[in-house]
Amino acid sequence: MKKNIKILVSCLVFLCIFTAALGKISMVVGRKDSDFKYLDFYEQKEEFDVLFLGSSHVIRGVFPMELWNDYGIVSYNMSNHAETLPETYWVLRNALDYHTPKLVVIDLYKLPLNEKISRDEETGELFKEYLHDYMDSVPLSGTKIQAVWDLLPAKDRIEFLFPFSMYHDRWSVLGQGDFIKERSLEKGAQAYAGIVSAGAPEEVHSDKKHEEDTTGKQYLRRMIELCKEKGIQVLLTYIPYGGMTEEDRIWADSGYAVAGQYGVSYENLTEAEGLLNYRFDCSDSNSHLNVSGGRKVTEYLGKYIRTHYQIPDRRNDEIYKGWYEDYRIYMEEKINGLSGEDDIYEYLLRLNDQSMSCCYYIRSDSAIYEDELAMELLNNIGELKRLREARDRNEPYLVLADHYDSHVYEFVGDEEFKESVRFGLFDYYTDENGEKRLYIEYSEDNYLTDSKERPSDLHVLVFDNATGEMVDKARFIEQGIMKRKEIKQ
Amino acid sequence: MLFNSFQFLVFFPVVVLIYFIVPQKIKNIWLLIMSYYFYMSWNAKYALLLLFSTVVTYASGLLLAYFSAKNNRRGRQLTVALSFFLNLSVLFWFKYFDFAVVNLNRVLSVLHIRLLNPAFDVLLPVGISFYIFQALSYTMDVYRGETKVEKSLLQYGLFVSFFPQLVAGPIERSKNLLGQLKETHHFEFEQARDGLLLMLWGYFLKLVVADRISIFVDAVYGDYTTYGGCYLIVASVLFAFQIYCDFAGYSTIAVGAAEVMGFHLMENFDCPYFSRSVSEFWRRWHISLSSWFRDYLYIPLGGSRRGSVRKYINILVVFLASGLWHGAQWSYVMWGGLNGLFQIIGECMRPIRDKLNQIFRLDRTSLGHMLFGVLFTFVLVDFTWIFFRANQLTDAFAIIKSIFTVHNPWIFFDESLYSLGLARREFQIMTGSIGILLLSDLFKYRGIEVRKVIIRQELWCRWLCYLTAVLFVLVFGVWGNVYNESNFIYFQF
Repeated sequence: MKKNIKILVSCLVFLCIFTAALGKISMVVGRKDSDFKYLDFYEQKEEFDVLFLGSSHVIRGVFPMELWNDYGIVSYNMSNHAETLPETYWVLRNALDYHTPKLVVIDLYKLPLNEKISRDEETGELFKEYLHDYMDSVPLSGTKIQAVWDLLPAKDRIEFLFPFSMYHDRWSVLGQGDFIKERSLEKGAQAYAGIVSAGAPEEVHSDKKHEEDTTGKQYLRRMIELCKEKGIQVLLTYIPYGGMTEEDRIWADSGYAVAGQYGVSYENLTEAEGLLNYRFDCSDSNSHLNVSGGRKVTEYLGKYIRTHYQIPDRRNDEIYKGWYEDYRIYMEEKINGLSGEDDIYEYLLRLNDQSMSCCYYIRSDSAIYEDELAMELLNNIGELKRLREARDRNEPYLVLADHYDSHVYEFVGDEEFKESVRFGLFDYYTDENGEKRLYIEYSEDNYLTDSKERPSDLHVLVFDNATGEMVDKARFIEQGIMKRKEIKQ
Repeated sequence: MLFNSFQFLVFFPVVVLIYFIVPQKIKNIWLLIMSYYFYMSWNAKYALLLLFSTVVTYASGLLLAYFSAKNNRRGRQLTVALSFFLNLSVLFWFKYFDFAVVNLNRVLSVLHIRLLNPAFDVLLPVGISFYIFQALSYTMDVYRGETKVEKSLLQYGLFVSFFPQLVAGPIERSKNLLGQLKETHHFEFEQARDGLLLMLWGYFLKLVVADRISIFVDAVYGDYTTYGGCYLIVASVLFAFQIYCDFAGYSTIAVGAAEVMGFHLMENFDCPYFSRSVSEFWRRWHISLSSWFRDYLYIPLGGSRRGSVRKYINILVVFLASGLWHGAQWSYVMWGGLNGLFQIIGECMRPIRDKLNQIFRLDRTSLGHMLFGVLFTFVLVDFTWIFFRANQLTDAFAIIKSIFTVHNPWIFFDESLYSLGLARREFQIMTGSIGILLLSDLFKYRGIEVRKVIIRQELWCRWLCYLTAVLFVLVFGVWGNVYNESNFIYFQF
């Protein structure tokens, strides 16, 4: 008997050591993408007030850190690429095991789908890899097991419940990143700076309605009922994208019926006039929104939530002070992204950012005046009333878009400007030789200094609204294509 | 249900746990039910074939006992013949019918006659060759009086269907296993640990070595017109290890699984690639099958008792039959035939070899001589593996031609070898694992069992070995759904 107990204890101790070692190895060989995206959600002890759920259109369209900075809304973007509403249901179920938000925002892009997991249109294969992007980080629990059973065929379940069964093969591709724990600075969102010119959503001309029941609708109802049961408010959305067909819009309209059935709000953003400019607010062939389009949608939703729901402003809440540090790092990354951007269009795209202010200078005869897309992107930072006038007169143009004080200063030709703003004293004038000069806060350097041989077509100075500091300066010269040049001063 | 499936990882502990919990009289019933469940997890209907073979050979035992009591020799012979006929008919129908029809039609086509329609397309019942041979061995053993007739259908049913060795051997003999089924088995830690360690070694052979090699071999053999010459040499050498580790791995898991429950199955492989002749290789390779053919075909044919020519014919017959046993294709027949032929040539050359050794005063026990023998035998055996691996006979000839005619030795020096499914690191793990296998076999050849050496170590050292081995197999083994980095990279837009 004594011997048996000794054997039993030995086996248990061995099993514990084995489990610990296997756990550690699983972490090393596992893909890190899922942890990277969701780690903050699981590790934050404080409640999230708002959760955004949906597919890639939400990932690219809603930025929680901007909502924090602009409205003090504590939120997380839980959405995932190609996520169907059945998947969203389980994302919500699992999320509620960890946090109890006040508001859940559900996007209806996948409403028409009758499958539980999206499939590759060409091969017909399930998009399991996308589901891994979400599921891998979910700790093993009853909810996770139910989700896997509900969503996946039997042959694929093990790789989701026990990801090591698949990722152990990654030993041959391990690198530095596999040994360092990293997390997303965007609270689940993924801003992207690419530009694709996509068509605006088509108008709806027919009386057609999609009243048929779909798997998507069934799971949407389950989500709304679940939230009602738990006293959580629900907002349904339809985030627009480039090239929406009439059929897509009819499906978007079908969300009203479900919303009406449960008395929840539905913000169909495809109907928001002038919200997006489809010439440059989309990023890829699937017409996902880029960083500019996403900020516009985020701004819209932020205002809507602030107006219609009692979501607290947490900016003065002591227990959320960690979010300031998160935002600081997030801001640093944004600035790094800006500083490393060589493409003029993507650079200007990134400048559609209310947390930064910027100053442009365009010389007379600048190639920028000939570039319609660049002109539109310049205009994208705010309503520039005199940019077209400067182009028409072919004269120098300076603008300071002060997003801190919500004021835009514009100067054309020989007009001068001397005024103290958040970022220092601006002194802009034409010297005795006819050269343009811009000094800020009595600096010795003229910020509009150029090489004699090839003057810049566009000068840009960027300021951080929070600190008031200049965080980037760039100049672009047209040499076949518009190229960014180093500023030596 | 494969040994390397998740189902087995659940099935096996449950079966073992309940086996040791239930009372003695229920233990074998439990094992019988679980063995049939194990078999039926592939295809439930085919359990009827297992049952058929069991009932026929069980009845043959009873009949043999009856005729023995009556001293009826003819009745006994008829019983054996009937048992063989019924069992081999089932095997023929499911495994060789198509092959026979296709070939018959080929012959008849010379006379422009087409007699039969070869549209009999059935799934080959898993393990049918194994359990039918095991069942037939019982008929023969009872006939020869080497084993007692088994009166309990339950015990006999379990003997034929015992799940660890049901689908891939070892092909057990009634005198070894039937007796053990009647013994009382209690849980013993040492026995369970030994069994688990054997299983672990089996998993290493199967998952880390065999299944990784197969990625490379499949790529080369699947497109041998593109990957000729040295690619085929590398793939053929690697295939020798793949087939060894695949088969020995599965057998070792079977032996280990039985050991956990207190049953001792026969060893199926004994360092085959350290053999110094083809005939020695066959004494070390798939021992349970080789000895089956020896006992139930070679010896009844007269063995070596009827002169050299008859002996050579007997060898050839046995190996042609062995080839056919492995698969209904001419390439397997050729493979078996070559193995028989090499042995006959070896026998014929023996006096010449002896004479040469005498003239040149060669020391057969010297390392160089032994190494030459081992390498020469490996080359011969590996040559026959080409026929075993090729999809058909014509492919095998094309592959051999390519090996001798395509000149591309540079693939050993550039990165070419790493572009066939195994990247550099995977190739390194594969070659390292083959090194571990050869080292282990070398120890075993010299009478040292690594497993027993580990067991004798202090606790921390033992545990470290166990832990490292399990984690090594789990990380470096080929199992689970395939991970493809490019799938994930593609989606990261």
